[in-house]
Amino acid sequence: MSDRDAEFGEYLDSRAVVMRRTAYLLSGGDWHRAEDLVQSTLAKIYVAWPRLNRAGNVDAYARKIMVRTAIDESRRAFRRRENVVGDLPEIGVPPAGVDDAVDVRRALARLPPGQRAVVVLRYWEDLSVAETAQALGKSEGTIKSQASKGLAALRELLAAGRVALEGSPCPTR
Amino acid sequence: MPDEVKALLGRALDGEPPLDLDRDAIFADGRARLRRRRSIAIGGAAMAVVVAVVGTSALAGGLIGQSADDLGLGASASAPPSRPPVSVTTSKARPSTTENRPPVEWPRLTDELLTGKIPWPAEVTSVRGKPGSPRGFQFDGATLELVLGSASGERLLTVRVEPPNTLRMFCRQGEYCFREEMPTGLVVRTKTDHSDGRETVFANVRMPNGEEISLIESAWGDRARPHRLLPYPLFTSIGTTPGLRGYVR
Repeated sequence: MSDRDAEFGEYLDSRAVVMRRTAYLLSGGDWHRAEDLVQSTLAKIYVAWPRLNRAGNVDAYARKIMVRTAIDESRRAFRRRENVVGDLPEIGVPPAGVDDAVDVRRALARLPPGQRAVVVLRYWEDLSVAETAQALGKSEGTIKSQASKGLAALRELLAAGRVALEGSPCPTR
Repeated sequence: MPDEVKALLGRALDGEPPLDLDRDAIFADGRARLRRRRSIAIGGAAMAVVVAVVGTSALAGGLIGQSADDLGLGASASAPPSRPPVSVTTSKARPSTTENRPPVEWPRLTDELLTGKIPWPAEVTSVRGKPGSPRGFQFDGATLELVLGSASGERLLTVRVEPPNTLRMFCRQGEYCFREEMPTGLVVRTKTDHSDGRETVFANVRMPNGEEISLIESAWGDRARPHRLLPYPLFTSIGTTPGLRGYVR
């Protein structure tokens, strides 16, 4: 195994779980899409690994790639490799407290992708306004405005009975 | 307040499943991207050398200043790309006397085929009903079978109108499967099987209203072509042909 593979493998093992959580929120609450997103992000990181590793900014690059890929994919038809299965899956029993989680997922899924990305980076990844602006390639003013609108939309959607089972994306206000 | 939002977002992660990333696939994908990038870089450098050499030769040979016609470019630039004509044959539909259910006709598909609206790939040289099929270019029951000819052999395209919400396609080791969801709600699933050195493509097209069409492209006949003939998007085009809509069992 080459140095690149060994070092990248260590990074992959240490960051995959955390990356998938962010990807899950960015994708609006779909674990399959989240794994696809992480997989394609990591493959892109592999290509640039020596440069990124030297510069010591792998996480920042990973966030940027993941967010931009998530936004791009949300704009076009969703296509993914199907999972290979040997047997039919059994039907699982949802864990307790699943209703809350489902509500938040639905609310997130209804935010426009750009707004969702700002909310996730600012409040889940704890990035500053400047860092979020850099990751998304937008101005700091836009980030502040999108964060404010995103939070307001989330609150509105989470208000009792406001998150419909099936609904169109929340309009950008 | 940021903590409050973070806690809220964290709630969405409840019930997080175990990580199921394919580590080998990530490495393979990364290496493939790296190879592509290197080959593009090498190709770009080679192209630059070719351009430089050709440019120098052109200058030295006095090509600059000659018209396109002199260089023999005029005709090729204005002529449309040549493509062998696709012959479409139909056989007369015979009235069924043995079936209780009337045959399902797909007149619009026939129109589409006859007028060349379906963009068959250039490799397709003929489209005809399956020999021996009682209805040729029409559905026999809920199934239409077409033989697609090409220089490298023949393929059979089977189109079936399925009962709504019944199609299930599971992937096994060695099969190549994709799922595509359009913003309109249309779902297309494709599976490619390579058993016995022959490629078979299965496609399920599910309309937003639950109607489902299945399509299979497989090797056929004595002059069977082992490899796929139709591009994947064409399965979607055929499966969403308006003539298929509204079929009620």
